[in-house]
Amino acid sequence: MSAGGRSRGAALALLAGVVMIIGAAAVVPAGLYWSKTGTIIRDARTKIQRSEQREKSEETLVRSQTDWNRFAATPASGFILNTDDETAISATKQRINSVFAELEGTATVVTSEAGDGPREGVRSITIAIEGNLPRKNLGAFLTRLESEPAYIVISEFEAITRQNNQLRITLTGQAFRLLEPGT
Amino acid sequence: MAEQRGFFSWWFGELREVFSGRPVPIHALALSSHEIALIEKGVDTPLGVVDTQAEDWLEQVEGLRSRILSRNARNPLIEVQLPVEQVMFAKINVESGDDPQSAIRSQIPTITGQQPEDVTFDVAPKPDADGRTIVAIAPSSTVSEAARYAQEWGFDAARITSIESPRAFRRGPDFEHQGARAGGSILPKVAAGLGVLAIALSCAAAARALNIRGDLVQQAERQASEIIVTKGSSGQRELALAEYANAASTATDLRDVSLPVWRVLAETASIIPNDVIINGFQYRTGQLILRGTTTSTVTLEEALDRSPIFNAPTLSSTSRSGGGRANFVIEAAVDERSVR
Repeated sequence: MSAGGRSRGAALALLAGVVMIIGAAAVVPAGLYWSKTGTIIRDARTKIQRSEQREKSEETLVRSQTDWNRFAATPASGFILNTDDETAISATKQRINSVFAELEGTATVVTSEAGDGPREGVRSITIAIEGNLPRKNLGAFLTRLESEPAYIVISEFEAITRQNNQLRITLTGQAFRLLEPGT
Repeated sequence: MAEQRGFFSWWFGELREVFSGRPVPIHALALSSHEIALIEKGVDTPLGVVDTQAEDWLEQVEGLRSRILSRNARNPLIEVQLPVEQVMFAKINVESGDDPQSAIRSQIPTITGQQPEDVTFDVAPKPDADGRTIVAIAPSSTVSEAARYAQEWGFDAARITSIESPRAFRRGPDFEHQGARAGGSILPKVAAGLGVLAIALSCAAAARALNIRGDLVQQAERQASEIIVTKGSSGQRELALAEYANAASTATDLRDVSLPVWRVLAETASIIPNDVIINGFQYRTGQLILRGTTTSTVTLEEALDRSPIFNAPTLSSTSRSGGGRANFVIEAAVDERSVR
């Protein structure tokens, strides 16, 4: 560079350039370090967040499982609360006979059998009954069977008038038993 | 090599001038008995040489001046270098505790044979290897003449020094003279100081941030390492729970979606005409069959047809009974959706 081409501005610009180069030499490694540590921090935070989410999910799962178990163990679930088909059939027969008896009627169980329910994990108790019942108690009889647990879903029903205001009742209905999880 | 030295001399000179606030020349007028040379400091080859024996030597000096004249037309700032024979270098012992200036001044007559007020001297920043103080001495008249000549020739003598000097004088001796350009503004120094301060604070802040970042990394890694990963898929358990919940709601769901027989019975009782006597009530999913007697099957049929539950009532059979009544068997479809 000739003397004529040199100026104070050029000297200052050169100084600024040197400062920038030195600054870049310091900033670039710092930036790389910042970026690298950022990745580490982000990964660690992601891991921590996933862990927290997993814990919350686990708590929710356990709470839900407990709630459903509690619900299934109460009459409000509408199931027969027996643990096997035989006792469930027996309990259903006993309940229907009890309803008939309370409403001044008599009943004869024609058939009863257990089978697969409408959903997985549910057993169906199908029962066919013939009996006699006072005409005045027909409504109460149906309400007791259909609206009070364990619910009986009546698929066929026939009532025929007999003498002395008595009705000949024929019905087929289903009650349900919930299987234990995993069975 | 000379080019490089010249470059750095110019660059550092400019920067020194900017940041010191004092003018620092990058050109020098080297005086000798018959020649005046204009040189660029740090460069061996002179920009030009004027023979003072020539008739037009003043024009030649002006030519030299015009070569380095700045664009703002200010007199070029130069360093005047005195010839070797005009400068004496001496090594003086200065007792520790003595004022160097006074000590030197007292020894000048012995060294030069001149009175102290007749000479100008400068002290090297560092003593020699033996600890003696190196002093450059020149006649005051010579220094003044050199400054005056430079001014007459259109130069601004920033400093008067010698052509040659010991290494102890890093930039050569600096003989004080009248008319030296006054020191510059303090603002560049302040600006430079603030700049340095800003850079230092930035560096400190960056270092602090990086330090905190490092701590944060350690903390995050420690927390991440403390996480206990449980084996087994929660998705399968969720699926199993969903299936169990679906099963557990079966009984209540079926109760809610099925049309109970008591509702069919209640609807029948509410809509049939008063004269109808029902002897048989049969319900299968989606179908109702009624048996009985009535005085008007048409009225019964119409009553069933008006019900939102029953659709398409159809008489299956009729037969005459006593007392103006008729036996009937009537069927109707049951719309289970209408009662949900």
